[in-house]
Amino acid sequence: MKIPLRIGKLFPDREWYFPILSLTIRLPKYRGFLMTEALIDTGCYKSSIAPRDVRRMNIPYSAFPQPVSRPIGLGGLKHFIHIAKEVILSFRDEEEKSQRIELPEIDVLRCVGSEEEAKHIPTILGTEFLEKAGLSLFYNPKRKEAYLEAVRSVPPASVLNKEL
Amino acid sequence: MEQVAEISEKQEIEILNAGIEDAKYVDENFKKFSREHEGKIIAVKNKSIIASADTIDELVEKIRAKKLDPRTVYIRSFPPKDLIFIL
Repeated sequence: MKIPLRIGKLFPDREWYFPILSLTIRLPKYRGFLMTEALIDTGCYKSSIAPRDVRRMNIPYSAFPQPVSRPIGLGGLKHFIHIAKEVILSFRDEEEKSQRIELPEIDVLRCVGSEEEAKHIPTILGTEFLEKAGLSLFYNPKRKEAYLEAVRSVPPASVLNKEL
Repeated sequence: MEQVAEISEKQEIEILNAGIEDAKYVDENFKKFSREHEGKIIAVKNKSIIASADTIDELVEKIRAKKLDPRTVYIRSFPPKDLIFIL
């Protein structure tokens, strides 16, 4: 199974392209739903919902558990991380069929400073998403081609660790 | 918390498909839109810009004023030329 990705720009004056997945996010515990797009970021382990998307979901931060760590730096801004449990991500595969993946949790970002400054920061899918979903990322920036592909016949990480 | 309508799986697929088309529309016009909406965030529905704002709160209000659900509208921001960040 392949999941096509768009190659999109974040910065108007830069020829910098990023692999992007259009998806919906459901947070059943909070009756949350959102259609958005997420940047596939292999430099980041966790996945996170950007402040602008949290705002659109219309779930107050007070509904989420309190942050358990100091703020993290993302996009030059400090953010508190609230963790939302039970997440369902849906997206389209190359046959335009809907595919659904459940994650145990996702980070919900709250900008420490002005939300206005955080409006350019996108929602991110990190390597944890690829791991949990059993997906690998193919990205050829020169050909502007990117997709996710289901990894077949790969034993779970725990088995691999034992063999080592 | 404001009550919002539940989204069925059928609606979800329709919303996602529309969002993909709107994202492609913005990609195709990225240069033009980034010039016209520099530093702003826009909302797009059915390949048409329905709102542009300086803040996400303002954008959400503009979307609601059009009787649309902000959760189902494609949004995109255009950072000012002098803003670059690392994720």
